[in-house]
Amino acid sequence: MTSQHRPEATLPRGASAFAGISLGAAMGARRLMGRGVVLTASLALALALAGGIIERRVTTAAAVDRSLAATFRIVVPLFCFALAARACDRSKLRDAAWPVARYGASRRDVALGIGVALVIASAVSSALLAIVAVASAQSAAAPPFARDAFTSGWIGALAGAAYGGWFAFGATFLERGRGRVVPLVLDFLFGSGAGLFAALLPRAHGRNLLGGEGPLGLSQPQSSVALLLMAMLLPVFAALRCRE
Amino acid sequence: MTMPRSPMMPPPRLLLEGVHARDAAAPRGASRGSLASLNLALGAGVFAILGAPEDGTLALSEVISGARAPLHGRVLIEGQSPARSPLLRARIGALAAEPTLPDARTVEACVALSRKARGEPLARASDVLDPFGLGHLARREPRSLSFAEARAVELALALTTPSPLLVSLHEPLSDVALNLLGLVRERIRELALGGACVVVTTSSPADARALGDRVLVLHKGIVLGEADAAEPLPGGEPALVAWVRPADDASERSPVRVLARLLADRPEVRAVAWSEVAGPHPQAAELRLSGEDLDACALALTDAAVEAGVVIEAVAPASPGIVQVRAAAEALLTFRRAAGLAQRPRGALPAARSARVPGALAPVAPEAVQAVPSEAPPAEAPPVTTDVAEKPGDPGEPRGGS
Repeated sequence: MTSQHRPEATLPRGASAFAGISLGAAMGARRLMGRGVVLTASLALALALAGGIIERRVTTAAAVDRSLAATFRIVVPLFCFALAARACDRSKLRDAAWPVARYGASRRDVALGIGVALVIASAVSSALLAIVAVASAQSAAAPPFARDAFTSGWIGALAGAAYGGWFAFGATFLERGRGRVVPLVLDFLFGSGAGLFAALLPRAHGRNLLGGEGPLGLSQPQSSVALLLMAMLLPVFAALRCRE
Repeated sequence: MTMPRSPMMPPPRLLLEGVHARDAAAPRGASRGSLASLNLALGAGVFAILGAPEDGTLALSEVISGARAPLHGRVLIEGQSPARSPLLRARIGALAAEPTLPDARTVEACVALSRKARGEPLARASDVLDPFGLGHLARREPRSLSFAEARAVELALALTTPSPLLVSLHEPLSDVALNLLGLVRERIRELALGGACVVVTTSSPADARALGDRVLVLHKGIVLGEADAAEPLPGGEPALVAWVRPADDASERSPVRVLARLLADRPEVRAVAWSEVAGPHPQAAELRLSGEDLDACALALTDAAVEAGVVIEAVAPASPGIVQVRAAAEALLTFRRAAGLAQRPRGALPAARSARVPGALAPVAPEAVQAVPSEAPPAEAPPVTTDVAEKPGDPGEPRGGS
């Protein structure tokens, strides 16, 4: 061990932007692999499965649609919310980035990495939940499973990613990142509408993609783009709020 | 009046100007301690900041490591703010009160992640862990580590920071699962000799004296006093603690009592107290002797030990407890307020040991030295003067005050 100053060329330079993002993503992913997340995921899958089975038992007609609607209305937002809380270590996104940022990576880059990990995890798990909802409500009267599962899967992925983006952004507000509750509450309260406010929330667009009424009369491709933009831009805004 | 300084003198490593800050260590993010308009300029060396968390040691540790920006004022390391500059943080080693290791699969991966964040070339985690005897933790999951183990890993990371400008260590000798604390002390010394400013925040006067070249007493968010580590701390009396045992060929049944009797007869020793370790004779004992001149007391102890047939295992200056230090600091603060000295800009600073290490800064003395208890007498101040209007960026040894 030597403590003498090294020549300038070997001074630590901190992580580059890409390294910072990848370190943030790695740390976020590691947090999302915890035992708590596995338990929450099991619960969410059980809920989606139970919802589908109940809908099928009530009547097989449109059971898949009702099962998907229930899953997208409750299970997906709540599960994405749980993922966001875990990815941010139940703190503000800025503080969640600190364990890596303290060693020389930019807080903004690490926060973006955590946001990316959250969006990807939300997308994958929501797609899985949608497929489980379809599979559990499947009956002879239902459309072909493979096509239905594929379509529901990507809708779930888009909606989940948008929720992930919103919760990452929300986690930059209030003490311990409690601001992430705001988009959840707004989504529950106003997401069912078809006005301008609903157009800003994932629920309205998810409903549109599942065959319901779209916000502001938007078409399904437009809703897809809206969800995609939420998933891509909100983590960036969140990261910008965490800049040094 | 400012004495012109050599243009070759480096600027202070760490500069705090009118810093107001508070920690969030209490439940629900509430503050436990805060800093109140703290001014401080530290160069290379080891500086122990002695105070309880309620006095703002946690807040200080957080602002200088960049974890938290100050509410008011500036914290600068080499002219940059640690809360705003990631590149600067890559050269800051920090041991926080609560360990915040990055989440990773194993401690090994965690160390690799940290080093990657610093922009270090890929290196083995064993380079960090093994020298401190922490190699056995490499395969463990970070979340499975105990509090003390996690702090030990964090301490190892802090002490292996490449080319560090600042190393901020909060209680490095307590709640740390390390058996090689001597190595930690040695490493801290090495870093200081390499030009780093090492700031140790602690509530243990003994740790402060063991680690620091200079001890600064932080009380209610301001630096109240500042002294060489060998000088008595506020609240303490000039006293020595010696660990002794009877010599193998001791003829006396209680040579330690004989030693105490001999010491009591010496004029330079004011009081002697001892406590013997329970067990069969001959017993080892801890001896505490006080007097005006500690060097004279030490000589008297050596003479008496030879006469009594006692072996001295170790001798150290006695440290008061943090309660005594805080009480003395409070009394000093009250005295200053009553005497209208609250606005005193700077304290009298004797030449620091740290000033003699390579890269360290020259000591600074105040324009007018006030007679304040527990501070160095004016005669001891070095013949360098500064004034109130001194530029903040001016180099100097630690200057505490509010």
